[in-house]
Amino acid sequence: MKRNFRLHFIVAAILLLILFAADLLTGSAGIAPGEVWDILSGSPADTNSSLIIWNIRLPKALTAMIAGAAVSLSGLLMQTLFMNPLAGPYVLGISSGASLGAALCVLGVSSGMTAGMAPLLENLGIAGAAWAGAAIVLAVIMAASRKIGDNTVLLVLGMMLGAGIDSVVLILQYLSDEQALKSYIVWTMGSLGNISGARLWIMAGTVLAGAAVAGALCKPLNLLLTGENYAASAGTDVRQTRSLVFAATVLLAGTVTAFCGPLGFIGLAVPHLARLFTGTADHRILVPGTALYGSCIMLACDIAAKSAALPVNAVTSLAGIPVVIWIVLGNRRRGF
Amino acid sequence: MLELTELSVGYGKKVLLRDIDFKTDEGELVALVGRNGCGKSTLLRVIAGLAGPMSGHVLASGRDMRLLSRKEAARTVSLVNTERLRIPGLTCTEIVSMGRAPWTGWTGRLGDKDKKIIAQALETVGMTEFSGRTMDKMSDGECQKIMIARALAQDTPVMLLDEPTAFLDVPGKYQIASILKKLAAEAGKSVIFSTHDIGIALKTADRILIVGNAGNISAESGNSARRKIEETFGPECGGMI
Repeated sequence: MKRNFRLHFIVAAILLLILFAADLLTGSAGIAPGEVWDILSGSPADTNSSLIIWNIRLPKALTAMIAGAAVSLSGLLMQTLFMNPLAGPYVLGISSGASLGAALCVLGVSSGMTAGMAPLLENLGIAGAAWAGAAIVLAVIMAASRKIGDNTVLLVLGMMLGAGIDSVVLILQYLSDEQALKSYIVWTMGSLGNISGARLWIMAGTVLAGAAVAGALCKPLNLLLTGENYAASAGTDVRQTRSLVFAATVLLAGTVTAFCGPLGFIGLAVPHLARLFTGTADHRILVPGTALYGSCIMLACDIAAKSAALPVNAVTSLAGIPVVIWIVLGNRRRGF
Repeated sequence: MLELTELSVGYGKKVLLRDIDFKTDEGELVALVGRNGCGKSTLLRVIAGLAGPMSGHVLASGRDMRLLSRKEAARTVSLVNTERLRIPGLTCTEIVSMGRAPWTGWTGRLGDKDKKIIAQALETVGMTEFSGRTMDKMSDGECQKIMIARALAQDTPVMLLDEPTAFLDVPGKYQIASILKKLAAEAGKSVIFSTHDIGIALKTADRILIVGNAGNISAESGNSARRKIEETFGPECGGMI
């Protein structure tokens, strides 16, 4: 059985490499595979092509990998914590919270509060605001979850909270100037580009920290599959686990949403695909599996978005929605 | 092994059961009977350390459950509750192995001893052949046995079961009852199970805890248990058993 899982990981890793390479090769400027290889290996090459690869395509492919893994992992954490197959950072309004934080930065502060500050500080400001937004929504949901035992009610609450926050963001948009509005709209469409240098490092480091927390939680997450009561009776500190899942979700979903905009449906759909492909609910397999598949799918979405010249969010939703429908239709049969 | 002293349980400000004084012996099977909503499940949760008592103490193996860490509590008392689980992606062995959680490290990695205990637990409940199967395609009785095996793998001196025979057909109920009897008699555990099957309680349990209509509890056995049940739940009930 274990050997099967190893094979899964090897196949997924190979797929990841292929998609990563394909993503590097995809773009409006035609750069031959040999030339890409030369550029990456440091051989002398055409300056323009070199700039495109190093400054645009490579950071974008890395961002796609990181973002795909992060939103998928946070979706997995939410689904296990709430014992709900339809939970995810997007559905529960957590991404909306991050959006509000980012919107307050982009739209509210566009008038000049951050003007003149070093770009790094500005980036930290957006990320920090998004984290705060995500954390507040998570805290509200979790506070409600202590009072409300019914997961469906909680899910509705999360969606309503998300919708409410979206309304606030809408008001902010209405009140903001044209320039800021445009950059915010572009941000909501989801962008894996424009993230390089310090931004990429901040995102990679934070997501890695979130993934490390998720990885360390495999045992209590597995126990939570049997419900909070069983998990507690087997020695799990449920409250502590919840807090750590919070922290991981804020680090993962909050960061990615801050930098890339809300990436629809990936966080909800990929954990189910990981369960389907690996055939297990064991988080020791699912956590790395979901991260790997999330990276693969986001790279594939980026390739599709680049090929069709569409915003990536449109592609992730189009790819994710059939999976969500499949979950709803097959739910009774599989008895999640 | 398990000692309840002046224990009162309830929720909010509402006291459901008051001033319970009770002590089990090693290898004793105790049934807990009472009307719906009388506080049986709450009492079991308090004994397991999942909820605090309103007053009084729960001593398991001489230690106050309130003062134990979650992990230490889980090494002392195991619980099979009324939740009906159907997890599609986990095999029965994986479910039973969760019982080893209080004994394994942060990764949950199982040692040879853990694996042996898991196999033994499955064998005790007669579910060895189901070890590689998943619960989504099993009957209620089979799933219940797996959850008992999971509690058994927890290797605790005290084992609690909340209505383990509910939802089961008649043979299923008696199978579970005989497993519980075996656990108490052969494994030397103190086993307390709540039930509405008074016939099963009278037939299998060494003693019966009967929740009275005023939230008082009395521990009886044999004919005095029968009389007390009749007195508490009415003569119609007595006539049925």
